[in-house]
Amino acid sequence: MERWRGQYIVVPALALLVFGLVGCGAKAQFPTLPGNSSHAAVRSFINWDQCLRQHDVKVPTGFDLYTNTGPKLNIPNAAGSACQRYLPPAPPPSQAARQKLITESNCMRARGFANTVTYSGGGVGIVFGAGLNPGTPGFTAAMKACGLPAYNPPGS
Amino acid sequence: MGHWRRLAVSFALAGALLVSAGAMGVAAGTNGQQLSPYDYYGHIASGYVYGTNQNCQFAYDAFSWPNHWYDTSGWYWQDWSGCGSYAVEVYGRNSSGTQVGSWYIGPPHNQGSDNWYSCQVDGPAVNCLAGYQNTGVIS
Repeated sequence: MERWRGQYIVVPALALLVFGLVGCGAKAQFPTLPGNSSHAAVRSFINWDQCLRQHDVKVPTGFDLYTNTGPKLNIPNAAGSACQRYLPPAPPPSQAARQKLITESNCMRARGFANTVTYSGGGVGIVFGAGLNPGTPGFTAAMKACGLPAYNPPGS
Repeated sequence: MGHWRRLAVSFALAGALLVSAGAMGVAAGTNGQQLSPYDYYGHIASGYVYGTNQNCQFAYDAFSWPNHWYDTSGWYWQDWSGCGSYAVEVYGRNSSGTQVGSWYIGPPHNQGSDNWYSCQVDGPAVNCLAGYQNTGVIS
């Protein structure tokens, strides 16, 4: 009887799927600190705090890493650099910020200026098509009409 | 024996696929620098960057900036005449959303061992240094 050999594909595929779901879920659901933070974020924050203590810097009670409200904190550069790797990931851009950018992007596209919306590193942005820049006729006027902030290079 | 060997090979191939996919997701630019802004006086709450990216494309990056330990990672900027570069500028806003300044910075085209470029963005004149810097004061 012929043996079924699909397990060589199915089992690794399932493993990939599980890893993928876990990874994407962690990224999409990342909360802010200190409120409803994920376990991983809280653990990271604790490690950061402990690292700073080892450099004689105490994070005051009530300090809010993400909103920069509450007690203030001054960290010498040496301690900040040494403990940087423990910082929880930056909070993702807000839904409002994403939506605003998508609207601006669509507006620019509707005026003939191809672009793509990009998310990374705590920011949201627009990358324009090759050769499109403030020197392109109509570009600056479209920026203004679409609600993008002005670009004022030196000497302008 | 053959069964386990084939299964191990399948897992190895799947793992390689996973690693390569991850590597693609964080692929670094080959030109330009990532920007690490820092504010000495703690006036800046959000901001945006305009300028030329690693592919000579004009780009706009808006970022909320809860504190100076967070950087605009994944964006590579350069001032380089080779692509008719548009000046890279950082614009800062305070917590009320009011623009409090704009600073021209000049991230270099070439990447060395460190592709970070650090700039103080709330001083009268911008101070930029090659390399990673996250000094400053939250006040």
